Amino acid sequence: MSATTAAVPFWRAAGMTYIGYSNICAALVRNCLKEPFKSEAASREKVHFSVAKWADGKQEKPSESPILSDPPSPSPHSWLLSRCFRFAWLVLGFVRMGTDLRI
Amino acid sequence: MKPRPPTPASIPTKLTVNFVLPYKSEIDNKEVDMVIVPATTGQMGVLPGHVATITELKPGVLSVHEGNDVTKYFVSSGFAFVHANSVADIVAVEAVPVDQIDPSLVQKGLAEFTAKLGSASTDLEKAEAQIGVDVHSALNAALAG
Repeated sequence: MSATTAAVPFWRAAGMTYIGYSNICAALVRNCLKEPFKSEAASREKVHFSVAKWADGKQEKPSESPILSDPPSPSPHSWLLSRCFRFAWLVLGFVRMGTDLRI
Repeated sequence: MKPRPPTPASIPTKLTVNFVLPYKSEIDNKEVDMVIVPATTGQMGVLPGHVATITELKPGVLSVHEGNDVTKYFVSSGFAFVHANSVADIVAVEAVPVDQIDPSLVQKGLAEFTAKLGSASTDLEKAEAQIGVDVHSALNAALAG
């Protein structure tokens, strides 16, 4: 069995996923915009959610809903949620086009 | 969903472009002469009749050529799909017209991330700093022309 020798991008070698890399790129670009475009982009990309821990089958008090603007390294819980929201962009793009992707 | 248009027998004269972002449809079914996409393998020109391709995009300038008009967007990353029927679908997370970019913020960012790259210790820090340098260099190049 041959070992995989495919060249991986530097970010994947460092443990980042494509969606993480893509979101970091997008956040950096948004940071370099002129006003008012910068504030419009920031308000557009805000994510609201609340996190609640479960113990013994009961839901504990949900935490204060954090307002995140594309956080680079948030807490473990919000990481997964924000990644789920973010991955929707790829799907949204195709839905928006209104056609299927049969090649 | 509408079915995709079939592959025509002869090469069409125009390329149909769809350029979408998560929050809006930037170009919807527009017929153009050519698009140049910033693929990871370099600037790629797509003309009508281009071979079917899927390519990942790197931060760079996407230009749409229609007659004498050229519209340029800076794309943060994404994918471009060229189909056999001369339809090009471009999906990006963030795309801005080049004139919405602030040159002073780009210079500041480039200096900041170049410094971070020098002082980074873990692989992840190095990767993040490298991404910062790549994106800001691409922004710089886009502003230069």
